[in-house]
Amino acid sequence: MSGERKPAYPPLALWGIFLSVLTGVGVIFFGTSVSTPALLGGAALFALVLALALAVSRRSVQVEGGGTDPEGSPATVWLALSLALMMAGVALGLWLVLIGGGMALIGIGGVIRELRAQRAAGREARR
Amino acid sequence: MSAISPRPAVVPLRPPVGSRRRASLLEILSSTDHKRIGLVTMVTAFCFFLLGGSLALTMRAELQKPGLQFLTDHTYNELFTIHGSTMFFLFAVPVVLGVGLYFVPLQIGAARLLWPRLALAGYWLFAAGGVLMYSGFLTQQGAASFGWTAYFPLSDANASPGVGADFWVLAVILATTGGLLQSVSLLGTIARLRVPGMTMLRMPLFTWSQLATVFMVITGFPVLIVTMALLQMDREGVGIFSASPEGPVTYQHLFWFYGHPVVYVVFFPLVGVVGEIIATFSRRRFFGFRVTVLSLLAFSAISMAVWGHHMFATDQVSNRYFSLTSTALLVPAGIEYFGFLATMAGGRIRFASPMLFAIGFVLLFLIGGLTGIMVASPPLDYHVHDTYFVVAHFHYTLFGGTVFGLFAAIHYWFPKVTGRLLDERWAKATFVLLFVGALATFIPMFVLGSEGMTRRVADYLPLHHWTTLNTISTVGAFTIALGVLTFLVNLMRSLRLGELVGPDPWEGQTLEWATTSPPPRHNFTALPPIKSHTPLFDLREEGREPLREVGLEREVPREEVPA
Repeated sequence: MSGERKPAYPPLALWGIFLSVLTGVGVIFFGTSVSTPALLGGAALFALVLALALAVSRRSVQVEGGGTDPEGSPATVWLALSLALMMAGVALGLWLVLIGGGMALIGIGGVIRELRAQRAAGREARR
Repeated sequence: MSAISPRPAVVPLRPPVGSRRRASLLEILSSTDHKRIGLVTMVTAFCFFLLGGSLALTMRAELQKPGLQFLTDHTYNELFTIHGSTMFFLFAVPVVLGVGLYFVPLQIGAARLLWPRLALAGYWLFAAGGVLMYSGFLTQQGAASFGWTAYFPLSDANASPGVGADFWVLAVILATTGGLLQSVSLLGTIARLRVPGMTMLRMPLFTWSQLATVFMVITGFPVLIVTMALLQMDREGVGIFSASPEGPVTYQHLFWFYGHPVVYVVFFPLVGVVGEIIATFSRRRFFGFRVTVLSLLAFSAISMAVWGHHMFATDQVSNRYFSLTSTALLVPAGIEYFGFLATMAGGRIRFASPMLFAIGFVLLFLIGGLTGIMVASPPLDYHVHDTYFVVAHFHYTLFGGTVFGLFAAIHYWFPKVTGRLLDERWAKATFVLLFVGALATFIPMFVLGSEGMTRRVADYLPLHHWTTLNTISTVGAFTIALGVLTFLVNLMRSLRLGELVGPDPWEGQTLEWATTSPPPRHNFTALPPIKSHTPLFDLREEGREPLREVGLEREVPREEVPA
């Protein structure tokens, strides 16, 4: 197959430029209003910074196959549900935030364990 | 599955791994496979669509004639709040991201998602958010009743006390964070996992539309998450929006900075799907592909700069600027419509069910788009602000755009996901019922709105003579429900009895059709050369059979319907 994977930052950079132009045009209209240029200009800046980050980060990623992703990640599910419980605790009380927080710690531990196993499997596969 | 193709034109990839044994529910719900994450996201979102739709039917039944029939004002407020919230936060956004999670990696030749745990966590946050939002109905003061926009100070702790309202705010944070995580995973996948040869301009239209969507999500969604966190803090007694007289307008700025782009988030990917369906069923490449890609980027960028048109009536925004940007949306939208029509104009069209839904999308969305231009004009907006005219307008964009686009996508990709075709007769019945239902439900609302019927009100007076139009609208809503019912019957029936098809029943143009149906765990055994955004179409033009090129000719059942 010919060709290689081209960088992905140009569309985001172009998008950021579009937003910058829209902000620039707005200067004629905005007057003393702060909210509008702040939101729009912030979005433009965010897009341009992200495009820059994509441009400078050229980390190579495995292309073929599925890498060493596990088939499933119960720890991720556990962690997400723990965060949801913590969130519900904001309305229902500190007790639920604490339970959710404890569960989240276990979930983070599980995800770290999965990532370690994944890295070990990757090393094994490369050998 | 056939062996890896030895042909030099083909890039051999890792063969599928894993057995064909039926996975348990736990395995499915914790899977890192993008297809499973995408599918469970879509199925869960569709369940919320049914819930939100049933709330709409209840409201339409109440509004069929003047007087309060079976709802109180407060219950009606809860219903329209949770209906709108469900349709945005729990159906439309997750469902389009779910479609993206399933098909974007397939279209770019990737074997997996980048950061699949983010996508999985995103699903669970969204699902938990949905449960939390609906839990509000079980609380003493009921669910949130301040509208899906939660305008301040209507949403503060004095005007809307109770745990149900808190649940709503927190649920929005959860669901929106879920969508954001899934979008980050999609962005990373498109940026990093495209197969060699898949340059940006060789990505299919759907992937491009999904990329533009992701740009809007990563820019707009964090603003809503922060806004909702601030709102909750305000509800807890920390003065944020209540601290100054400008607070309510600041809230509106922040909300609509998310709230307008999200309307585009929920139909943009479906513009891509519809474009691909139109090209496939017209048997030609999409007309003006590169210009359309540029217009998608411009469209999504301009959509970030139009939020103020929701605030014309506040007199606190630059109406001239937001009117200008809102009207400017016509240009990229026109380019896309021109692309749709020009593709069909030169093609040999097959009117199969996906194409019918795609045409339905084009027609109904046009009504939404044109009336959008009307409300982009401040004088007209003053007249119809907060009336049923606006309700009709956005339902043509959301129902005509999101629902018809989604049904087009489902009918198009169902054979890829299941290996079976949906029954055409049932599908056409669904199309007719949904199309007629959409016209009957929402056209009367334009008239009602311009005559002054305000939205978010459970009752109206007989002297207004609005009963006939409301009755037509209610009958239309139940026609839509019947259409959805026929779809569900077709879905259940076709999952077991649908005609078996091979990898490519429609003569598709993009890479997802170059693998088995359903695709294996890591998607491909081999890929064809990628010279454009329509690699399979290129092969056919060269007189080569795409499935043979990737070693899948034996996967085609003998009884497959000729495309």
